[in-house]
Amino acid sequence: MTLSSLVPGVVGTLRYEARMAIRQRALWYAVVPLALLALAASWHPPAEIADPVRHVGGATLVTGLLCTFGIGVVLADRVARGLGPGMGDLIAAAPCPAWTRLPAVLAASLGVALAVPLLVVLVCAVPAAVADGGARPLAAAAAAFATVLVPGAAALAALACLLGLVLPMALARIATAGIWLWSTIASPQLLPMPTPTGTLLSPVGGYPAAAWFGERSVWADRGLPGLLSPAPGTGTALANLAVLAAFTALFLTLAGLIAARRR
Amino acid sequence: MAIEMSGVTKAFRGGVRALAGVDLRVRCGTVGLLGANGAGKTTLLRVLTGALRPTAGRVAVGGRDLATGSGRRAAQRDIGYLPQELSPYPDLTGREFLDYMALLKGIGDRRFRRAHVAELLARVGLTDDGARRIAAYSGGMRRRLGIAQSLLGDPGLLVLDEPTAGLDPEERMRFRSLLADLGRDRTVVLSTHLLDDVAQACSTAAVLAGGRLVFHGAVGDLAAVARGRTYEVPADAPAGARSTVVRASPAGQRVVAGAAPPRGRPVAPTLEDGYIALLRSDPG
Repeated sequence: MTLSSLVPGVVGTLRYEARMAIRQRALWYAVVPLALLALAASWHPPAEIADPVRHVGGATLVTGLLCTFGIGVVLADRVARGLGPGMGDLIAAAPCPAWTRLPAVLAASLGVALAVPLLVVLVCAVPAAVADGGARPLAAAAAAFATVLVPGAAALAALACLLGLVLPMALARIATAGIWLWSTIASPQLLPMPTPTGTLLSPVGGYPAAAWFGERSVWADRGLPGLLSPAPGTGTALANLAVLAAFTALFLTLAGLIAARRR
Repeated sequence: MAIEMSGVTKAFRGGVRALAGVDLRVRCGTVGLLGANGAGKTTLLRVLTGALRPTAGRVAVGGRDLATGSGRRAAQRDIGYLPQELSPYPDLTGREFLDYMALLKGIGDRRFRRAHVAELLARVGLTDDGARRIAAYSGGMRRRLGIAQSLLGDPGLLVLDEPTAGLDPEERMRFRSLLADLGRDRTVVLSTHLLDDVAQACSTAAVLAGGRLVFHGAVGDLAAVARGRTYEVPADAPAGARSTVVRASPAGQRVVAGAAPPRGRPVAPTLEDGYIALLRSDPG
């Protein structure tokens, strides 16, 4: 099997899964209101922006916190729907291996869904650019989007797809929402239970936002003890991204195995 | 394209054994696969396309062993498959769906793909509906779209699981004519409950019962299984204690029986009689 023989299948999956995501009204109904909420929460006129890069990092964090929640809930059916009557067998009978197709399914749907939060982050960067007098905040917005928002969204979408295979779809969506809230804002200081919030395991993007964009870290500076809550820095931000990449790969692998067993 | 299945067994979780040591060799032509519900037809077709791996046994298509990843993918490029219940993505148009499936089959050349998809849409009478979303298609149109996708890449082996289910009589006739055309230069495995489909379109028949292959031979030979055992019995006469009624009408009954029923008149067996006689003697 050569790499070139896999290209048409991956291209087809990216193209048509993205097209189907664009045509899924529920995606826009879920993401657009949350994006508007994020825009309202993060928008500041140039005069109020003292540190443009920090402003962009903060806007990305808030946008990710709100929009990723809706994206995960809506994308929970992405893998399960490919196992519908006949389609699962038809795809399994195609010479396109699941290990190339499954990441493409997720990437295509997520790529479409993330267009709205990207727009919000860029819009929030415009007054920062005016305040800065240059395009640096716009470049920072793109970088923040890629490092603060995307890794957590990918991990949550992969988890949602996995839950969509093992739970009834409505329950999978509820569980996805619950896990996102539990792992991003439910601090042990608020809830009498262990949570990943404020640790290297949290998908909210607090460590990259704090390390590279000067944003105040979410929970990490609030005295949470333990090895998993080190002070923000480049090393810990990279560790956080590595953890999220590993979670994404793990959830996708499990989803692939479960999808194969379902047939 | 030659098919070789030897000792193929498929057991599902919970111990359900859908296939039990099936040996099937097909060189070319159209094979009608028959069997009662649950006999293992769909499982056999899924194994044949590489969508499902057998628990034991060997499957080779065109000399390529489906047990290896490279062999399976090479064979799958040359297999067209229509699953029993196909619900294509409703958010795509018919043309987009075919293009997507063509890409998954590894057909990369955009110009060729566009022309090929247009040709297949025309072949199944969907040219005017190619730009409509599948959500707006009727059941028969979806079935025809499924048939079109099975022909992507001009496969050497066509595996069709109840292709005429959901088609109206006119569409069914049209499909049979298409099938006769397709069967000339490729191998077709056609699973169906409709013996008319087999009688009209197939050169050979295979019968599964309880996951075992109980017959494989010429269609005429399947009818011959009931030779000397097929009778017409008047409506007011008993069918006989050990007979199976094939068809009943106000005028009388057509039965398959081991011994002549009272007032039974021997008649020449049809494919249906042969099939009933075979299942009666080997109920699986």
